[in-house]
Amino acid sequence: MRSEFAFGYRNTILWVIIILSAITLGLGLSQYYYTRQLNRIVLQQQNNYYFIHSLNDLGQNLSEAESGQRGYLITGERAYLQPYKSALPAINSDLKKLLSSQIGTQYKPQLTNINKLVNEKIQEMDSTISAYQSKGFESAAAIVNTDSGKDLMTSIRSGINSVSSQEIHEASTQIAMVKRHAQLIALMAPFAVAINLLMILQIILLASRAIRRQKIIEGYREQFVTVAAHQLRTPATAVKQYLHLLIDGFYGKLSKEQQNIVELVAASNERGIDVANSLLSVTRVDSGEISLKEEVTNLNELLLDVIEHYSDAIKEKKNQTVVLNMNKRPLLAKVDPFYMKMVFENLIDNASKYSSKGKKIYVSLKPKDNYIYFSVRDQGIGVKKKDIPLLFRKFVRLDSAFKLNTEGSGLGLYLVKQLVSLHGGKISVDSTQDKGSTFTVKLKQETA
Amino acid sequence: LKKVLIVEDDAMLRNVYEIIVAREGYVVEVARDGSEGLRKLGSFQPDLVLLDMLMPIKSGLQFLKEAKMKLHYPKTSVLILSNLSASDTVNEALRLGAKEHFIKSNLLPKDLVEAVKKYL
Repeated sequence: MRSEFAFGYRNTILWVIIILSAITLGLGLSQYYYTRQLNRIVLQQQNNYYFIHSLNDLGQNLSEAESGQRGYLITGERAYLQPYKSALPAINSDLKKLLSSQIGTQYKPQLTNINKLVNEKIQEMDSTISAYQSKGFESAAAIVNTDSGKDLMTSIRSGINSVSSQEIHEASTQIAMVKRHAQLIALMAPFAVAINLLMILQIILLASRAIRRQKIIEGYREQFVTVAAHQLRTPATAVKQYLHLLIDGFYGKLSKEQQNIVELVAASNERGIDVANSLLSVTRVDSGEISLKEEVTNLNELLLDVIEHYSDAIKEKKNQTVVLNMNKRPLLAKVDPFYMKMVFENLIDNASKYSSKGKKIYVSLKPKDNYIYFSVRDQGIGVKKKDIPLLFRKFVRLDSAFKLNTEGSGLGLYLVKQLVSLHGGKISVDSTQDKGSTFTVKLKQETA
Repeated sequence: LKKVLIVEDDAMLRNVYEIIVAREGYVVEVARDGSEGLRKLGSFQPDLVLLDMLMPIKSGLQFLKEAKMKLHYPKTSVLILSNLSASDTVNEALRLGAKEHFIKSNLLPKDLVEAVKKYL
């Protein structure tokens, strides 16, 4: 069946969307993971850089101290002691930094060893300087000549070099990892974009299917209403003919009671026809089937036509008087006479329906600022302020309306509003409960 | 005696139109659809046709198209009885030679009598 096929297809699309969403989610999560990894490595690289930098500093500061010491020993100039003395705290701070750093914990034995050697070296330099100062050059030279200072320096340099080269190796493997992660992320991005595009496509497909389906259902519904209304109207039309044969005395004059009953039946039948007609008109309006045949029309004539047709019936049925306020000068508007007549009829009929017996109905047709205002004012039950927006909705019948009159299908005002809109006009309502309502239709005026 | 052909698919309506028109003293023949209507148009040679629009087998429009009223039956008037209001179908029917259009659900017996008398 057609509908099952449509549902099945929609389910497939739903599954595709779910799977694609899952893939996109996975891609997003792994991108997040790899980006975090990258972040971590970059931070590590920064530490790495500081660590290697401190190692270099340590070597340089030691060299500085040594050349200061040697200079002093050779020349005896105290000025050489200055770089020596300033290098010592720098060496200490370098050592502290190295030992306390995060990376330093990985090289604890080597660093401890370097620390020990550096301290020995400093001690050696210290002792040569104090020997020079107390016992003279020969005594200091004797210590230097043992080559213990030189050996210490060589061991320290090789220690520093070994830690430094290990750390540089470590850094280069990390950089290789960064490269791999970056490549992965770069690979995932276009993939994610493609899947997202695919998903958007599927969603558009799904939405368009849903809209098309909705239209088909709407079409079936309208078709159903049309057929139902038509099928109900045809027998009612036949009933109407037969009843009027009796009412018009085709079969002899009826007694007063007979006449009454037959007229009641006819009135009831007429309501059925009215509802069917409204339903058919509303369905035509809703489905966009109505194409207006607009022509420049004399609204005065059109309105007079309607009032001639209705005022007697209204007088007879509810003893209501229609009061018309209209100038002789013809007011022209571009309308479809058939449908504009329907608007006039519906509004006047409504005014009568929702007013009690003997009331007046004021109808006016006036021009103002290139617009024509057609208005119908009644002295009827009126509408509560809060209910006014509901008035023009389909099938809405307000409680207050039911109290006075149970006739009406709740279609009339909806139809009027749609027809007025189709004509490019506007309808407004002003109402006070228990005082009455005024409906005003505003149409563009045509100049002759 | 003037002759009236009623072409209408709904039995109840067909029957009541027949009663109304026959009471005025016309000779009446009925047809259930456009196809039967075309046959009786030839055999019965009516002066007036009351024609429904929406009918099975052949619609009112098809009846008018095939009958070529203006050419073959210039003296026969056709009145459209339909619930279609001011539609393209009705306009097409008027173009094909129908004289006037009446909305069935608005029509009272006396209106029908008046309309028939107007064209006979």
